[in-house]
Amino acid sequence: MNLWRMVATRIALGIVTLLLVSAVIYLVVGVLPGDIAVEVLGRNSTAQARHLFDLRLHLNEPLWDRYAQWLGGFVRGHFGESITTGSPVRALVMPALGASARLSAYALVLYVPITLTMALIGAVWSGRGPDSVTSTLTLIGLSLPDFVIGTILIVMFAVVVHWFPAIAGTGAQGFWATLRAITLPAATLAAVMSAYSARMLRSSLIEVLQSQFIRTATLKGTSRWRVIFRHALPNAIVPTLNVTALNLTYLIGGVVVVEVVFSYPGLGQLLVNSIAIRDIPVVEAATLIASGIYIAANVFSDVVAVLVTPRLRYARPAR
Amino acid sequence: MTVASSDIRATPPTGCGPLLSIEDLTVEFWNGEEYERVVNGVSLHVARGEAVGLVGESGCGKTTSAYSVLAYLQPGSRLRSGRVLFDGQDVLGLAGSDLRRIRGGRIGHVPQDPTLALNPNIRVGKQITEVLANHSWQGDRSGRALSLLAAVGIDRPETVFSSYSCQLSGGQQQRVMIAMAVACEPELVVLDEPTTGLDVTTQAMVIDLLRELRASRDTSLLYVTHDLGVVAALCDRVVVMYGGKVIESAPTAELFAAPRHPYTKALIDSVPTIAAGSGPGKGLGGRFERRKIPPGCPFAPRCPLAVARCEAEAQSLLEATPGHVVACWRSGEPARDTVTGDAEPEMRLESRGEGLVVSSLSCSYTGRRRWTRGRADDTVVRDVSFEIELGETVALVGESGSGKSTIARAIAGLLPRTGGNIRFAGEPLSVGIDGRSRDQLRRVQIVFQNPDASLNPRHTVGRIVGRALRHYFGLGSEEAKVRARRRLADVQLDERLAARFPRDLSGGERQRVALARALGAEPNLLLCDEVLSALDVSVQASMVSLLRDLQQEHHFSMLFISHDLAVVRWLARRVVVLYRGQLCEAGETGRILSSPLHPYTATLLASIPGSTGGHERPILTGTPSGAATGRGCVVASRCPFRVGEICDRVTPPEVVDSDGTRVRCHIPLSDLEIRMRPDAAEPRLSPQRGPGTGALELP
Repeated sequence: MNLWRMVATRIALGIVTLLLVSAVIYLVVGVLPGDIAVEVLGRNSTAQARHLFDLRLHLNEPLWDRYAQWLGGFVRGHFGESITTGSPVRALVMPALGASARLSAYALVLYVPITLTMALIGAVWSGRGPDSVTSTLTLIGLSLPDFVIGTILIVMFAVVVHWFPAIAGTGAQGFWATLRAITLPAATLAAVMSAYSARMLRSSLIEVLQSQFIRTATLKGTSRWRVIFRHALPNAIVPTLNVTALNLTYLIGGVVVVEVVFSYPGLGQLLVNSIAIRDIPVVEAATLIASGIYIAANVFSDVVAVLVTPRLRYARPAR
Repeated sequence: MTVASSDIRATPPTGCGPLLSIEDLTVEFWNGEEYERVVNGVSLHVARGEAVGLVGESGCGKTTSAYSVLAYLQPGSRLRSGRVLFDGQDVLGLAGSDLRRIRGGRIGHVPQDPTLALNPNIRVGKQITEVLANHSWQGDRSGRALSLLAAVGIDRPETVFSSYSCQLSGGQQQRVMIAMAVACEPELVVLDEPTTGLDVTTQAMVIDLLRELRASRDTSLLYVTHDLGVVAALCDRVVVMYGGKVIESAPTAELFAAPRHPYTKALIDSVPTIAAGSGPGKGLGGRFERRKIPPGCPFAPRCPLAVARCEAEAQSLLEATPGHVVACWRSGEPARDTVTGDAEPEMRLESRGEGLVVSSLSCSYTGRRRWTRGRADDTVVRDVSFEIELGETVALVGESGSGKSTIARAIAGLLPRTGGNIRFAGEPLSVGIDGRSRDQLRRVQIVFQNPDASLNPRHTVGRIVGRALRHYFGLGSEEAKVRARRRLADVQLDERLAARFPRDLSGGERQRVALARALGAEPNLLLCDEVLSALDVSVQASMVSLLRDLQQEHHFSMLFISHDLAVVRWLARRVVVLYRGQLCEAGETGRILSSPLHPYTATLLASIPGSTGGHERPILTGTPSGAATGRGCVVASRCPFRVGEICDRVTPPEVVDSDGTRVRCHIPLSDLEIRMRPDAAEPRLSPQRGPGTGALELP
């Protein structure tokens, strides 16, 4: 009961946020300096051509009207047309989104076990040999930029040993071939994300392992591993959940560099290319979708955090 | 419900010899620079079926010693030497599954704070069945967990079984911990201050439960506490520790009747009692500092009998009378009563005019939770009125949830009241602090329960105290510094502490700093919200004398909030007893404590461990259930004197007795007086106090 109200509240807040974000995106793009028609058609274009261009994109109408129309279209699934190619924005964005989603899903599958293993090793052998090893690894993961990690992986696994292809284009056919093609970019992303989450989970695990209920469990005669997995881990995981939600955003929108390194046609690369050629409708659509995923991920992680924390789910008894 | 009792004890008890004996245990802690000896050559033993109390101030090593029985060393500590023989086997030498078989199986454990000791993420029932599973308990584990919950006096075992710990009250949580500790029928249970965090009434129930546990089974107890009252109520023998050493050990009755070590005497003298005519001790002089422990007797630096030889030569435990050992060669000498002792409190009786007048105060938390408006009644204080004259001390007593802290916060303006008026020195005080003048704010100061939380950890003591001076009197920083030092001297703190941070101070010193900060504003009314609850008994006594002295000197009025009636006796001329937000009884302290009229007051008095006087049995039965509805009498469902439906429907009016005592009860005072008399012939008690507190039979 309480939980559903909370979920509804979060979703409503998410929608409001998304509306604000859409307005900001549209207005900021709308007030960018320079005449779009001039930029697209060139300095030597005729005034008539520019006028026609404005008409086609409704650029002569007031900003608010255009925003309302754009938003209305977006809700109905019409993202408008690309300025440069004239093709529907949908046809450009959706494949890129699908590619990004595949890569992200694979990265997440790698991310969870890497994070858990590194964090558990660090926490259980805290301050001793194994912890030094994992701490060093995560520190390296944090300090190296993702394109460097990607390049190292290419050198190691595509050049030295030919396990995986260096280019993760869309050429591969079939599930396993695709999987093999995007293993290196997914591993790169997973490494970058795990580095931070593993350090975070390690420190919250160490803190939880010092709590009194861990002592209770130990003094009940519970085995060490059961104490760690059953008693400590569920209590330590909540802060890491929020970080994971933030990581999801990184996966969707912020992986441009990794996509470039591996020539992967994801949403990030589409966004960068569209900005370069001033394809405004594509930029707007891609940004809004990325924001929507970001907000959804955060709502999701909040809800999961409540689900795994009984204290938040159940109120105290009446005074 | 009977559960087939399967035998989890592989080894049958091996007859003679103590069940547990700690031999020459020495444990060291890393303090950042070096290892300090926290437990220094401790030996003690517990016989089968015996309950031994291990007492001492915080830092004396009692908890560390007790946990060594479970072969559990706190992080940062190491075992230097010693053996812990349990049934002839050294548990410190065990590891892996051998150790796990003992922990929870043959030795149970009840920790200090059940709120922290239960896993917040696992249902309570699951946590009980886990201990059964750990020790390969055959049969219906859930069924056994349910019957254990019923046996420790849990009202609705099925509900609690599937609850999370956050859904339970503190008392229920501690019952769950006890159920878990005895689940596998251990031979020994180690209890680490199990009632310290609980309300007096809950504490009384838990002690009853433990007593019954002992009566019905042959379980031995090792009970760690700083509360001698609890020890007197429960233990056969007491071991007193100081500075990491055992300094005295004797059968309980003998220890209380004829303590031999100067420290034990001081400790017993600092225990507050409600007996008429008993004044507060001065507490122990000085404070325990591990760095100052001499090679000889650890207590020598604070001992009034100490001579040069005491600091130099270690003293061994010598038998004074059979069964009574003490580590003090001067114990046989007549006690010069210099450690404790203070004249009968001289209560300020003359009236100096109108001070605080609280009339028909109501408070609720509704304003903060708009979403739940109209669903539950969030009123926590209902129609409470009382006065404090200038220079007078009035105490507000009641268990947690009674609304006493809420009242203090409403007076201070920290919490908006929803009804009623508060006046101070003739002027009305506005609802929130925003509407009060700076001078009004200065005149009402509050000291909170927990100085750890109320003092800014990043400010020095001097800055904390000086801030009030700069704020209210516009002093420059130099001037404020000088005045702050004077305030520190007022609360008997070394002026040099001004440069230190709160974390460098002991709990008692921190509370003095909080007091110095409040006094810095030169208040006319001091609100003390459970200021003693977080302190050791010996420190409490010295705080009480300090508060009394300060009041004599500065003539402020004081509202003293406490759940400890014995402390109240030393300080307050009048007492207001609250229960679930409603005034039950108010009047002169002596009168209320000696002949209470309201059934709740009598129950509260009876809850004091080792209480004497006519009210040894509580009047109210059962435990409070459900939310307070705001209709009828707050104790109606638990009251044996219930006159009828009127008790449920109509809030009783305040009736004023001839001597000014106010009581909220539907029964006419004359009638009530007869019923409440200790020797009342009428059987006023139902045979059972509460669920599960009959003869305890564990499944």
